[in-house]
Amino acid sequence: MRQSLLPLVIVLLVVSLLQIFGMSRLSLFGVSPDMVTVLLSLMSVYVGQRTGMAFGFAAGLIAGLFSGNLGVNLLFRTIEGFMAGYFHVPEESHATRSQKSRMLYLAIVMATFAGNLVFNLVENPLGQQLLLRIFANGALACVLNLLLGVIVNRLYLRTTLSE
Amino acid sequence: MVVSLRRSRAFPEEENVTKITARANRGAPWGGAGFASINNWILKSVQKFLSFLVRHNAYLLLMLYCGIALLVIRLEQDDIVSKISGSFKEIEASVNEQIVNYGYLFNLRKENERLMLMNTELLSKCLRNERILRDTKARSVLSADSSFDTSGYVVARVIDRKFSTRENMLMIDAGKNRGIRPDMTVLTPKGLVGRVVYVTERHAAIMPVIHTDFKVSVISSESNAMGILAWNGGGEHLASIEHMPISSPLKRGEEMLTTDFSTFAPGGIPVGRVVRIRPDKLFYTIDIRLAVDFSTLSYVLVAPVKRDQEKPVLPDNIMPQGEPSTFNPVN
Repeated sequence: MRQSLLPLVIVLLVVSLLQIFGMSRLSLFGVSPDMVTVLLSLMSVYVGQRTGMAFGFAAGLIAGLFSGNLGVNLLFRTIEGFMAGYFHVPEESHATRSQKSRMLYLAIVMATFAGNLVFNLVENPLGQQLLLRIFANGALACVLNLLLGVIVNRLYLRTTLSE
Repeated sequence: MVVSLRRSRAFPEEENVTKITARANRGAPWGGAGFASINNWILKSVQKFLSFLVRHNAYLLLMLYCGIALLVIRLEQDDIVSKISGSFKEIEASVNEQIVNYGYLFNLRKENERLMLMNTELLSKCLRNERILRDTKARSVLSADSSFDTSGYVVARVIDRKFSTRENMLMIDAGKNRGIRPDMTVLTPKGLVGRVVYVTERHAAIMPVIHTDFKVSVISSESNAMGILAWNGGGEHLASIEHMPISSPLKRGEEMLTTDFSTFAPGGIPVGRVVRIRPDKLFYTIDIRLAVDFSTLSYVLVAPVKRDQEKPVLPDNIMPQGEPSTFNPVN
């Protein structure tokens, strides 16, 4: 697995840039689907919690440099990677494909909610109420990211997971 | 331990020191096992710490990352970090600009269609405004002529014209809805234009002076010589006067007006000025320059119908013998 870290780094870079320049424009009630969170969840689930955290930190660095909120991005992306790492499926695991998928979806939801929670506790760019930001926006972000995760899982990972 | 005993025999002072240390070590937390015990304790502690690190390295890493993040949040207002962030923002802005430009290219067709539509709307508005302006100007010109009383007249706009060498017709935007009826006289303050020949609800057709079927009796404003105005084709600015007796004292430059005994036209409407007089056997052949410039005609006045349209028809037997009667009773 460690040998495949470099492609993952490249994928993370590409996905981060795509998120910054493309996906962030698709906004629903001020919330955009987050490809980076999905990717971090994927890494944490299949590679490990530490790697997920490290990648989260790196993703936060990229996003933060472009957005201007470096510290906040570092913080909530790291926590996303850490949170998703709780659903890590070891390589030698005998989990079925559906179990792996379920773990991935849970990781996405938990990572999104945790990241959203941390972000909203630190930042309030739209000047909304805290509870609204945490729960309404968090729930919407969870749904959007879960949809994205389902699409990614269905289109690409289905064959990978079954191997 | 063996080494320690041998050394104590050789150096009794050192033995005392060892005993004292051992005594002191008994009360120590590490159980009084001496330096070896200290080493063991340190070793175990390090092992425990390392195993703790191994077991909880994820948490420690999290703390490390979060610590760095919090430090960055703290230092974010500093110049260096803000400068780095600013340079990345510039990159982001330029990339976003490129993306927007590409998006603009993709939407160019739609944008062009929208602009075309907008142009069409603006053009139609502009044309409408220009027409209104022209209308207002023309109406003010018509009503500003103090020598001509336009009360009771209908002002109409010429909306169509069919000009040819023989038959010309005009169409105006007033019809029955504005009281227009056949045989009404159409004129401008400059002179006679024609007569209404056909009326619909909102439009009327006018037979102008420059129509081969149009005839009207005219009289000279100075010598009172009378004749019949006719147009025989050709230029739209010239007409001729027929049946002007050669004995008439007509001169060039005299103004010709409509007579009072026309069936449709009120008397005194200017028709034109005499430009050429050619004597024939009995009558002059007279060319007149028409008062109205039909090439620039855009607004006209429609005069009310003459009240007394009935006119006794002159019998043919009172006309001179041998001369054909070209008198048109309609005129």
